[in-house]
Amino acid sequence: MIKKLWNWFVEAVKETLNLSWTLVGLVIATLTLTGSAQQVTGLATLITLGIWLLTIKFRK
Amino acid sequence: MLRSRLLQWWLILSLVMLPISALANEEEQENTTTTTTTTIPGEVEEIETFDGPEETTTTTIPEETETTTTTTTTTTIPEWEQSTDIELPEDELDSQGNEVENNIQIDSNHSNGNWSCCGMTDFHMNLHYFQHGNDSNDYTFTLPETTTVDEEELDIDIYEVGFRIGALNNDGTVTYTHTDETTQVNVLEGQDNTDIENMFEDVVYNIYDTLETFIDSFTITINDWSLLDDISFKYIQPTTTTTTLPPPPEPEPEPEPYIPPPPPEPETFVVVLDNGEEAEYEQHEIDDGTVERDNQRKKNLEIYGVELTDEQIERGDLEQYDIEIIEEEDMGELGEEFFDDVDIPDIMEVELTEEELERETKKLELEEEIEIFIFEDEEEIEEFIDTVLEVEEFLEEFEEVEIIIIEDIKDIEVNIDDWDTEFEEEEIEDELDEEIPRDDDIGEEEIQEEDVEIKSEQEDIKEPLELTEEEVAVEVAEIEEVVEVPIVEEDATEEEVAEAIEEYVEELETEEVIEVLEEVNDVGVQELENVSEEVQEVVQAVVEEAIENVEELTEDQVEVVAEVLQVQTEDVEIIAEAVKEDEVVAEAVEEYVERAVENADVENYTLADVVTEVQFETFLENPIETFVDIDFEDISIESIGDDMTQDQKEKAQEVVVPVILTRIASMAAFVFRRQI
Repeated sequence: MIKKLWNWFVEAVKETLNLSWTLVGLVIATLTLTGSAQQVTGLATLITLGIWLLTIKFRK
Repeated sequence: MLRSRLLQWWLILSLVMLPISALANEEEQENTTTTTTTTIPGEVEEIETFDGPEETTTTTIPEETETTTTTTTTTTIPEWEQSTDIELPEDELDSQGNEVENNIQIDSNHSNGNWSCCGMTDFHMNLHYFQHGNDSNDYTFTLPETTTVDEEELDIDIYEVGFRIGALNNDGTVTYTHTDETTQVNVLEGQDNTDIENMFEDVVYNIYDTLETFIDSFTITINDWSLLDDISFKYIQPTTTTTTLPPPPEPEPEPEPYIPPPPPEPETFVVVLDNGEEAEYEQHEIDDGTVERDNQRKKNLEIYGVELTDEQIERGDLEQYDIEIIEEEDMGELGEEFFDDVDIPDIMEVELTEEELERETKKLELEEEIEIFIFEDEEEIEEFIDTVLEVEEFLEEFEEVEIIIIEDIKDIEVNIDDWDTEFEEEEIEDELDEEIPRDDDIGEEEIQEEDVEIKSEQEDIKEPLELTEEEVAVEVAEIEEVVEVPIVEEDATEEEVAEAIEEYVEELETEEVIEVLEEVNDVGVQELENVSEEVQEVVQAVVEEAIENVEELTEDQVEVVAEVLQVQTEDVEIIAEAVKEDEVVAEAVEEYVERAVENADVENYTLADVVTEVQFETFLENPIETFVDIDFEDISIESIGDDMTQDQKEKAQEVVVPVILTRIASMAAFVFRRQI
């Protein structure tokens, strides 16, 4: 179980690194927004990243 | 297994307990106060129950009997309704008309068998709706000043106010404001819900015998979700000054209206229409041509698919149905071949629109190409023809565009004296305007008019004029003349200086604030690096003051503020709202002048840039909070982005769009590489 989790963690780090430039862009985009638009963009970024990382195996 | 069972039970318990905890957390004891007041002659009591008029009494006297029957009808009210003229507190709205905070709600949820809570009957008011133990809010009820007696509006003096307040968990206060502007503050004690049905207090405030003034309004200050009903007030019924006339004599009963006997059934005739159908008509219909028109309608229904008479078609009513009659001449242009080859039904001939006609013509032209290419069905052929037409149209438009490449603008010699048209003269005035950008009196009226005319063609954001060093120096001197830096002691701390500046700016009249901003606009905010730090601080405070009091400014004054911030006029209001709710925007406004001066060499530096800078700094300080600190109540999908200035939206677009495009491009490249 711990090994599986560790493998997933390594994969998640790899995937996040692959997304580095996109994430930088989205963070900058979030910081240029204000009000509710900023909150929605920030939240959407986090949720999508979460889903992306949780579905690594499914997507492969 | 045991853990999952426990989790299930915890979830069930949470769901069961949720409505109870939502019930304003009331768990204290009943606290009912009753005050007896003496009835005064002529006294009138009005009660606001939020239920509207409850009963209507109808008296009917049947004709056959001599007894009088009184019927009372209870009206069921589907929505709350006010029965008095009390001005009720309302939720604050933002610039888009949305509620800033939903603090007030009028409903019947706690009565009528729903909750049976807190002495509420039918509709009642929820104050501090769904909020428990947070900051206190004031809810002011303004009592009416007049009443209508015999269609005459008369002043009233209210000496007693009462209301029922329930579900009050924490202590609050009620402040009564008198007509002589004195006030009386009473404590509203917190209640609890050992007996939820009786968890309320009837509050009565009477000053008839004690004070020589009257009650103007009362304000309830609470920090807990509470319920309010039956707001009453008492006053002496004022009398009219008009002379009372004796009652007018009873009008004579109206004679029973004459009901004429029904007319005899008209005689009808059966007529055979042109299409063989039989229909019944009266004599006058045959005489006035109705039969003829019906024949025309039937005929035109077959031809055009619409029931119109010939006269209606002649006057062009077919256009309303998008039907166009193609003249024989136009049909000739299509070529005889078209008619010879294809058997077109009559109805098609008339229903061809201009677009369809064009397509058919092109189809004939491209007959050879259509034969060469292989099309699967008629739809593909039509698509091909549409594409050809679109390309041809685009090329036609493109030919009309003339591209002039100017290699060196300085080489162009313009002789202004040669211009003689009216439009060009206006342009010359514009040039003159640029040469004298300050408060010159010369030709002021003409320049004003010119600005108004050209405004629609210009962008709302005015670009600062490029001034020479000398002009800048003059303008800066003017700013320093207008801005009076408050005198403070030499050894005063920065805080003391800031305080003195704040006091000075607060004392400024609106006109003076605008005058300072106009002077700043003459030179541009970024040029303020040439003035002293104290002046910069004063200008900064003036900008904040203007934003704070934007509601008091006229349209022209708002334009001045917009110019300072380098935003559009309508965005000033959005900024003013955002300052109240968004700490980042508030900080950006606070630091706008300072940062604009620091970035004097950056072109088009606006408030949006400052906001982004402040956001970035906040993000660096606490990256997680920036993403996690979300207030879901404020988010409305319909109005998303409405709280952003146009400038901010454009700046965001410049970032968001490239990010998305880059991502798509990289994904496409990845897929492409894998395919190879």
